[in-house]
Amino acid sequence: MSNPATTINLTDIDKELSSQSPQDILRHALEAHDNIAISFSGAEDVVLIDMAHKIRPDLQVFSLDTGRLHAETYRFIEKVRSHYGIEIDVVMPEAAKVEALVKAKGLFSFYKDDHKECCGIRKIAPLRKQLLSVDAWITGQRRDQSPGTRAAVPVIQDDKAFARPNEQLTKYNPLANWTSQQVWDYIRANNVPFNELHDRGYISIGCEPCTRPTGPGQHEREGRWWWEEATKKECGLHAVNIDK
Amino acid sequence: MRLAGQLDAIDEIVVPDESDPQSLGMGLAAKYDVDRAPFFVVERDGQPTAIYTVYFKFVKEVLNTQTDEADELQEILNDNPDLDFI
Repeated sequence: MSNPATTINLTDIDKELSSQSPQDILRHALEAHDNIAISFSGAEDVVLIDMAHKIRPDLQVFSLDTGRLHAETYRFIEKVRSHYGIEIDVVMPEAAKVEALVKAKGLFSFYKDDHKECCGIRKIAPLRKQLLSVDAWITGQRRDQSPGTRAAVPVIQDDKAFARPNEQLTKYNPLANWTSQQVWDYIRANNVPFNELHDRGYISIGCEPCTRPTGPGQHEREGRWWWEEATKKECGLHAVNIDK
Repeated sequence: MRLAGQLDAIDEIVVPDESDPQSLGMGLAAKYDVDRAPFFVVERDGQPTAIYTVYFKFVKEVLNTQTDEADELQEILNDNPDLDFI
């Protein structure tokens, strides 16, 4: 399969697509690429599957099973598979790499180091391998997921990190400009199944050890890696930032 | 890159001055639609100019040098914090 790097200016397309609805962006993505997959995290990005399934029922979906997901998330992935009648490629990390990390640093190294080493092995490495087999991919990333985001999340981007050598990989973020509220309005209006953790105060859902529910007034980002300085900084949680 | 002896492969180093949009580095960034540094402009005879914004890919694909997977994954996560929510 070949998807040679082209001179298509994705910045121009991003400007055009940014004003469109997630459904229209998905339609554009699914029409532009035969070999395109949705990355499904097992959280509220289920809306992408719901929207895309109405456009192309035989869509490709994959989920990254880090081996540390909540039981509820595993159950939800199965529920989505059955509800939409689709195949979901559950992608796992390389066992030897995980074993080496655990042998060297134990099962909870991320509480002492930061989360990147564990995420790198359990999530990013298998993601990279999976993306070698597609020409484009779709994520549920949104600008409002991170309070301190310095750059906007584009609706379409040239994914240079994961592209095959000398080829182009296009990444779509159809929900980039949607808020969490809009996502949940869609879920409720369309009776979309959702992860039961959301009913227990989980807004953002990742791996079990690194995710916690959030309370009133908290940004969803505070439910992820809350012990890290980067999170505290991003969420303005340092004492000096709180007005007395 | 200096410690790895890779600078020998670089013909020119340009420092983008964010306070001067007319600077050469900022001009190159605008020309190639790049919003982060470092990036690598690779020109090969008979081929279109290639832009690398991912250091390890540049090292692997252009300098033909082996890289450490752990370093590659770290770079990806550092440069793409949005992947935390995948």
